[in-house]
Amino acid sequence: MADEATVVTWVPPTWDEVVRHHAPRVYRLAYRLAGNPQDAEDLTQETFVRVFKSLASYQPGTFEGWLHRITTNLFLDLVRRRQRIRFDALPEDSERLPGRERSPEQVYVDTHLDPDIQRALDALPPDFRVAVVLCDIEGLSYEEIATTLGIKLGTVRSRIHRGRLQLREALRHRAPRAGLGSGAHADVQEGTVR
Amino acid sequence: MTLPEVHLAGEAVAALVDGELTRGAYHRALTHLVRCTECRLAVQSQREAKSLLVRAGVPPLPGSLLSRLHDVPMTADLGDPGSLALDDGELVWRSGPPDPPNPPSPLDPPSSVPRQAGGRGPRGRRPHRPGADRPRSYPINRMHSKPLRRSLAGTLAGLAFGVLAAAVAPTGGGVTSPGQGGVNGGGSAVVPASVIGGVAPQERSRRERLRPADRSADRSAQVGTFDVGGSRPVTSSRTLLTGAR
Repeated sequence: MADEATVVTWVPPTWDEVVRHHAPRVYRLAYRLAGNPQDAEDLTQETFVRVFKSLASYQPGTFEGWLHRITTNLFLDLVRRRQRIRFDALPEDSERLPGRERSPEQVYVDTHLDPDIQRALDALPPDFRVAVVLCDIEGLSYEEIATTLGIKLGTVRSRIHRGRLQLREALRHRAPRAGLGSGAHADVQEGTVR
Repeated sequence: MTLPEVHLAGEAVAALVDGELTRGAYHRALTHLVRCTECRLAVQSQREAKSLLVRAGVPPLPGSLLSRLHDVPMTADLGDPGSLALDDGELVWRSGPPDPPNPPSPLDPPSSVPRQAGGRGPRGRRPHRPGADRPRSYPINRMHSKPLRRSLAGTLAGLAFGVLAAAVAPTGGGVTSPGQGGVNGGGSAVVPASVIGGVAPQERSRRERLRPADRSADRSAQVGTFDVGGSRPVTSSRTLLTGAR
């Protein structure tokens, strides 16, 4: 009964609010996973279609986790499907609509988005990529990642560690100092352990 | 077998950088790092990789995509109104045929992420992939909740909404009729109650007749209320991905 009361008092957001609040984040996640705007748009749209169709079972408080889960599952499905049909796949550019080439967004992406970082991400095995992106770009905890992907905590740690190793190797040309003093946790700064 | 030769495990290095070590493990790691250059370098490498990602730019959301997302309620092929089903012992609301006893293989193509957003991808009904398109019952911030009970409660509440929607559904007008104001907070454009509790067939057929031209009008008032003022039938408007491209 208490649960029922909770559900009844919950005021569902408008669809506009859902889109406005979550679309940028979902697109960012989809872009970092898929590595190109076309797939990112498809993933994002399909994620929201799933959300719309599954609102029946939505429970307040789980929206971000739900979105992460749908997006990453769709991405991994996409990867698996392409692996299976890779020999039948058409060349990357052959089917694209002309209007989608070098849109203003694409130009922005090409010039602002550290293409070498995206390339390094793309080179990671999809399972590693998902774990690293959820951790470093989405800011999820290991436990949240484990729940999102349905894997063990140790697997999360391992994938993140190995994924970052590969990333660092691929981005060796980047100035080493880039990593110091930003982004990481303050309480494990180098100064503490010297 | 001297102590410095025992290094931090790679997983511990990553966990250290992410602040995911327990207090005890954290202090042991720091103690080790004081005297181990190799592990310090490993920590630094992990931190650098993380920092590169953290500082990477954020791709802007394309405006055309945003329009299509706003239009999802008008363009999504809702297919079957859905039904209750048992999934791994968990009662879920499933949007699909009510009695598919044979779950598809997890490797089945989802047929849901077409290569081209231009709508050339496979359409038709999507196979239900367990876990992929239903919300998990965990709140991401509160991992200790009781999934089954929450899920069940949500599902039953959804059912109740569905019954309510079916009972109240008028022969004309929008989905958010005043009769449902108690649930939705009244007045504002909200996610249609029929969606929360499944889609009444009558509502669905009405939705399919929406004119594409209506979509660009007043979006804020339109989304959720499904203005069906113009009933010019467009029979092939079940496009999923072409949207308002």
